[in-house]
Amino acid sequence: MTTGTLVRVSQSAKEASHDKTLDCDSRETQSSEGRIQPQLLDQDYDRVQSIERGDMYFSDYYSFPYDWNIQQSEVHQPIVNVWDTPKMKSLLAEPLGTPVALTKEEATEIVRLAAGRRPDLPAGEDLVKEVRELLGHSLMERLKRMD
Amino acid sequence: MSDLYDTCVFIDYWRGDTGAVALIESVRAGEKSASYSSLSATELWQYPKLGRQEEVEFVALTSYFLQEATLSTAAAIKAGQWLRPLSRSARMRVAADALIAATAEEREERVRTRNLKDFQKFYSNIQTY
Repeated sequence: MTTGTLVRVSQSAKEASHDKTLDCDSRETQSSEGRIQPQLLDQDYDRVQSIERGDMYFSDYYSFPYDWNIQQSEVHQPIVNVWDTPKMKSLLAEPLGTPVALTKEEATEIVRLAAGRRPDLPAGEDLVKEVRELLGHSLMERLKRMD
Repeated sequence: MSDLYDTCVFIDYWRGDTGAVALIESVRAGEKSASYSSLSATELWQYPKLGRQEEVEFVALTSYFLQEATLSTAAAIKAGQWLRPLSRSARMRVAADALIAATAEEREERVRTRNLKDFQKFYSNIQTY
């Protein structure tokens, strides 16, 4: 009856099973979104009663099979900041101008986190006026030398 | 209509300016397409207060979300003709604006900038943010 190790699942799956893990004897169905929908039968309530009375251990009857395909998003995982990953730490340690290769997922997260990260910078309009004049001066000097 | 983001959009995005953040978020979400002039890269990376992290962020933004608008010879000729009647000091001040505006005109894009005054000398399809 007991077929595998206990696995933690997301709150939604827990709620659906009244915060109890279930054994695998074909009492779960899948919703249209592919989510597991555990179904409690009468004998499950008997088991819950037995556990509450201390007549049996919870893990004796309530466990998941090894091959129960739990969606990755259903498993609790800590949220990792993209800048805390070894790849990004390594990229940041490299000198300015070193080629950068990113996946779209990494790029999406990096761009999202960049908004408002440098409030110390001058207004874009002021900074551009300053550098643009220098660039224009440089261009004109070059053209002057070409005359 | 597609936009060409001026250099100030990048700076203002880093500063957290709400208008610039809305522009970048719209391309990040795939709601619209936009480009940037390769001259903007020169302008940004001559500024010493931008470092490696900003470089990685710039690559992230320009690798997937913004198209590169390179300067063609035709656009460079157009910018030169726009600059011709101006005084030497005016040409120095607005040469880069003329090159970016000519690039946008060639691509039939609207320039999004906070620097309206200088762009208006050459190009009418501009909008602030």
